[in-house]
Amino acid sequence: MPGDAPPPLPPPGRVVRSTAGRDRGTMYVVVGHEGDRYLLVADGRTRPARRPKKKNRRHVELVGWHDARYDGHFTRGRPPADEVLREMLSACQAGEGGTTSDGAQ
Amino acid sequence: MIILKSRREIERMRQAGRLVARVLAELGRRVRPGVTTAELASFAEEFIVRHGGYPTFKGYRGFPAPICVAPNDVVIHGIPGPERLREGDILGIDVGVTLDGYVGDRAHTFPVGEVGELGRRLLEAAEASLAAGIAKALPGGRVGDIGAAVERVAREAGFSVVREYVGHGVGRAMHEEPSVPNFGPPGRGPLLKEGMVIAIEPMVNAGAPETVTDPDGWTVRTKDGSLSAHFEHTVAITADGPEILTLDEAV
Repeated sequence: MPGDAPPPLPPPGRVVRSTAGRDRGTMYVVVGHEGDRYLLVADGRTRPARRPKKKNRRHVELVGWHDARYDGHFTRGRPPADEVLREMLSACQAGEGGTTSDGAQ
Repeated sequence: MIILKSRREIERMRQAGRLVARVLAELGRRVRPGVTTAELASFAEEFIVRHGGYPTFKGYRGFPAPICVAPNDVVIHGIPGPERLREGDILGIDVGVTLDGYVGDRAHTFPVGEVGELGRRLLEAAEASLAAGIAKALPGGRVGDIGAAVERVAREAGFSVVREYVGHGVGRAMHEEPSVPNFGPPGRGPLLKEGMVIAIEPMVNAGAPETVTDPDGWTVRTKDGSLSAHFEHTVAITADGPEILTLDEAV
């Protein structure tokens, strides 16, 4: 009897919160994937988009926030500007804009 | 967490696998026009219990039957019922047996009487894709090697593989890690190690890969109504290569 396929990784542009490791509780923006298990995440401060952190999918939770206005920054084939990441995380933490339909992963 | 099995555990899984193979062989002899899938399920349950096993699927997440059946456009998880098989149908049967604490899991898609050209080609391609996947179940390889081989064979035959459902590790539980997709690039995914036991199970559609689930919450069909075939073996990864556990020398 087949099992369900694992849920897909959150796409670039989604916000996640670390649930394990020394950075537990830190929020990041997904900027890419490595294989089907790892997310490349950045916050535009300690982790700039050009040097993203590799996080196991199991060690983050998806934050129920998404603002489509930022989607264009993640479809250009190059890392988004760090100031965009900082702005997204500020907006997410302030609960501004976006939707909260995703729920936690 | 991937649970590696000892030789002793694999021997016990071999016993469960042999019983699965015997059940499927007996069912195959009974697949013919006019038979209902409920009759096949009833036979399977009686056979499994009489030989000391338990039909693993029965009650699994509330599944109401001892086997899964998948006629024609049903991909997987169909519930046996009073519908009679017709000449030219194809019928997937998925059997799980728990014996002495370990699970064996195998599926086979049978022709009902004489099937058309498309059905025949689909069955051949799906079974060949399973063989290609098993051949890649080698220590030192990656789970992705299996899916890549399965997908290549299915696509070269002009068919697609289902992506929403995947193979899996097998052991004391039917579904263990890792997931074993039937698609994707080689060289990715968990490392294959001696002692791993996995179910490799391509679901190959004659049309598009997308699926829909019936209101019963179980029956998965092709979204475009095309035929689908499902083949599966439980395979142990050994130093000497893959060993198919769901075979029976007597059959």
